[in-house]
Amino acid sequence: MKKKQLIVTVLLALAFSVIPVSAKASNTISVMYQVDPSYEVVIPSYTDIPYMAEMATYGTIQIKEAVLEEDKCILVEMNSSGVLVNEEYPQSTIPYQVLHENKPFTSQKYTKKGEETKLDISIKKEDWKKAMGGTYKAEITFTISYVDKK
Amino acid sequence: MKNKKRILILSDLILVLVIIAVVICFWNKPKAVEGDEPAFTPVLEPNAVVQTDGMDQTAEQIEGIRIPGYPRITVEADTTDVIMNLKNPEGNPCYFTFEIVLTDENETIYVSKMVEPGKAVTNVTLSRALNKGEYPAMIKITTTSLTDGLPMNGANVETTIVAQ
Repeated sequence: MKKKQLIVTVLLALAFSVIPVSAKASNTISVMYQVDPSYEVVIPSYTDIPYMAEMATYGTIQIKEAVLEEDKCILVEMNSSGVLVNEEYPQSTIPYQVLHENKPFTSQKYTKKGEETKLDISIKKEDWKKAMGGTYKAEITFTISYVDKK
Repeated sequence: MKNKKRILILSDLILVLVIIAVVICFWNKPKAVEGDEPAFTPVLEPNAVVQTDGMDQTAEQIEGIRIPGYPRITVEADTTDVIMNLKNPEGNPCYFTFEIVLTDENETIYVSKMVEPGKAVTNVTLSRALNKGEYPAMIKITTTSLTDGLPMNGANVETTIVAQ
């Protein structure tokens, strides 16, 4: 009798230990991995403009990395004072324009890695002639946003 | 008498030799040359940590300044000590100074010191804790040339800070 009880107990124990394992085996494991959007933009650092040059290469805006959501893009806007300032005599300035393909550049949207915009800087000859001697500088701030494509 | 004279001559000789040695030392002392001193001393961010991105140093150098984008920054709510990744990418010709401004209130909540290229500030102490929610913000990146300390072009990166 005791032997029978022991066998039944062992069989029951085995059965219960097997049930959870088989239940686990039939479950589906879903793994979620979220890729956060990220990007990297290269902006021009500065440029030296030869004296009396009416046009000079300013640099390139380039998308170096871009992991973007489907309906999003990168907007790069340029905020410039539009004047180069004499380092020694700040009252002396030279107006300039930043151009892309001979048109004034203000902003551009980008959607993928590798896209770029080449920029030139233009100064009129008459403005060079009016300028005092010395070194002129201007820093430009680029505003970079992650925006809807439309 | 003779001995005294010898001692006197010897001491004079030693004195002359010492004077010559001092003059030679002074003459050969390296002079401070104008331009030897560094053009400027950057005030570096002490909390910045090295963060390389595997950029091939032998590859063609990028002409320009690499600006990392921050579409969203998630931080812990209700605490001033938060973790984010304010990075100056490797190879840049300038130091970065980061300023985080909450655009709705026009409130600056963090300003870093200068961060070298290839380094990042990851442990940030905000001026105030943020409650749970989303905050439109601007990361103002001011640049300073590595060589002469002069400002270069900069960037304002729009982002959303998510406090949770």
